[in-house]
Amino acid sequence: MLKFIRCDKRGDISWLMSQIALLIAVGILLASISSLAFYSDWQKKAEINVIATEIVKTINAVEVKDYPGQIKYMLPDKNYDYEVFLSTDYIIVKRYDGRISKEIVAMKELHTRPWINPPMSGGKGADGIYNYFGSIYGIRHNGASPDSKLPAGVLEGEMEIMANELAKNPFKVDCEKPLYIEKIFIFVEGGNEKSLVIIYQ
Amino acid sequence: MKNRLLLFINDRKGISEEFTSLPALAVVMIGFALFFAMMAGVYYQHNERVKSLDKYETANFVLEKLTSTNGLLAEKGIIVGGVIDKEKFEIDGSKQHVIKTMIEESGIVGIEFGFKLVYWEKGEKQPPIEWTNIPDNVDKAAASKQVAVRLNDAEIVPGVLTVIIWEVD
Repeated sequence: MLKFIRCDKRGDISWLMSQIALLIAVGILLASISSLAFYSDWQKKAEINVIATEIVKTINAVEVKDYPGQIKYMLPDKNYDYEVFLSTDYIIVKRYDGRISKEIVAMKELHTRPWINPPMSGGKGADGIYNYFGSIYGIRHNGASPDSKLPAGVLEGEMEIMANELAKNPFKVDCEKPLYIEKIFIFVEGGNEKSLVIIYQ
Repeated sequence: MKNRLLLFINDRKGISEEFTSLPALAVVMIGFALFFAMMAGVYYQHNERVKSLDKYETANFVLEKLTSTNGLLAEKGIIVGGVIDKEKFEIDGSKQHVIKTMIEESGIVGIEFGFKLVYWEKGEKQPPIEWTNIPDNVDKAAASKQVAVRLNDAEIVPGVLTVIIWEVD
């Protein structure tokens, strides 16, 4: 066999080998280009990026309201599974069907500090928070009106606790349930009313 | 020339074969390279566009939030009843700490901002009043809205308020 190759004087073997080498090179090049263009996970990441952007936009829309109000936000129903996490500064959306790396993550920065999953009692939303403060500081200091102002520093303390907690364990949103985004006002001693956006399920 | 062509066609040794497939392969590869470069370019442009749109949306959000009836400018008495008080808006270089405190109290995190106010007096555009904290050498985005500017008790003139945002290092 080797002798046959070495003794070839017509160039057949050289031709055959160079053709095979060329075919392999073209195959590798085409495979790498098509894998980059069509089989990478950038489309999947773009899909969850849109979900994160929509949540941020909804939070911002509530944030700029001049009056108290609530939005019931349903997360979009997709043909793939995804998870949503709310942290102090970020909205994180994850899916686990990537080709290169299983986990695909999209993050969007929040430029405000909403109060995520606040403590509430005897109701939901603003009433739940007023009741919660009322149960600790009394009904005359629940922050619901200018006549019942919350003691100074309490709100900052609660927000600090929330920030520390969320930094360690971001709030996982149940994608089947609606997300309530609400603007509330809390009256605080020694100052004007504080406007806050609360997020809960 | 004719003899050469005949030699090329009648080649039975397979030597000229390679010289015909090489240009064909080269053309295909150049085509793919161009296609890939074009796709990469479109993807890059799209990404840049999304990023810049994000920045302008953030600038608009900051402007809307700070100028709302319960926003920072209303809290500080700079905006009263939807009208900007020119005297209070002007914060000179010696009051950098005032700007710093206001940014901290604004509730905006992760970005910094500054304001620029342009107004017209007796039909003439006046030199802009700019917050002194706006840096020159950073990537910025801006959003504007029309406002009313109170010059004194008797005079309220039209103006444009611009918020300029940039990333914190």
